[in-house]
Amino acid sequence: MKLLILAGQTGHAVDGSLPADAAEQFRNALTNVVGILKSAGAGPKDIIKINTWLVGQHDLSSAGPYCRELLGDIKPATTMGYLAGLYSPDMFVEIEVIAAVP
Amino acid sequence: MSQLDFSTPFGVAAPLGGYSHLATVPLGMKLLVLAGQTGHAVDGSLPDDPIAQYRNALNNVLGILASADAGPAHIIKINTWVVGAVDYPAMIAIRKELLGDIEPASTMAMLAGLFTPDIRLEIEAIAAVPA
Repeated sequence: MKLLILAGQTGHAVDGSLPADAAEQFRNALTNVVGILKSAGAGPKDIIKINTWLVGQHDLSSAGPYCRELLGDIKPATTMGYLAGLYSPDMFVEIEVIAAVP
Repeated sequence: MSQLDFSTPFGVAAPLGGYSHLATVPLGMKLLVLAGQTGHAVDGSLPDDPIAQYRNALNNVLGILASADAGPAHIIKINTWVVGAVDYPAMIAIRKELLGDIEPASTMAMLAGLFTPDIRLEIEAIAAVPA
């Protein structure tokens, strides 16, 4: 198996902009994850570990449908926690993923 | 592909600093999974200055890698956890000085605290070497 170790993905869009809304950051971060996996010929089903780090209490429920559709019915080993902060105060989400492919 | 590969694809948000989005570890490499390293010196003392702690923590990482015949180029993932405000430019300069121009997959975040209140940072590193 080949291991794919991803850098923590933040809520920035492809153009580098960071939305103010945490749910949109969450969607962007997951989109970035999937984009990187695809670049390596992998996909959500290859994810073995996913760490989700959040800053502050935000309502992320609006991101639910998009994320479920993007990832599908996967159940990797998961960790979730709240941080005191990320690299800059306007960042609310960081997602770390490790994947394994043949 | 039989060696370590670092890449950052187009079509996703660019890295926010000097790191790669993806480290690919081919079959058969040996993984070195390090414990989180704090800023204690070899004699166990902990400097007050978080930047001095950062230098110690990175040197601890390098010492552990060297014990396994590995070096900065083998680092595939590096997580830096800090408590409170730190001087990022100073940290970046020290990282460049001690690790060189490597671009492993990286994560950086602020924690509410670490094991004791005087510990200001912790560095986790994973490396991959030929088996």
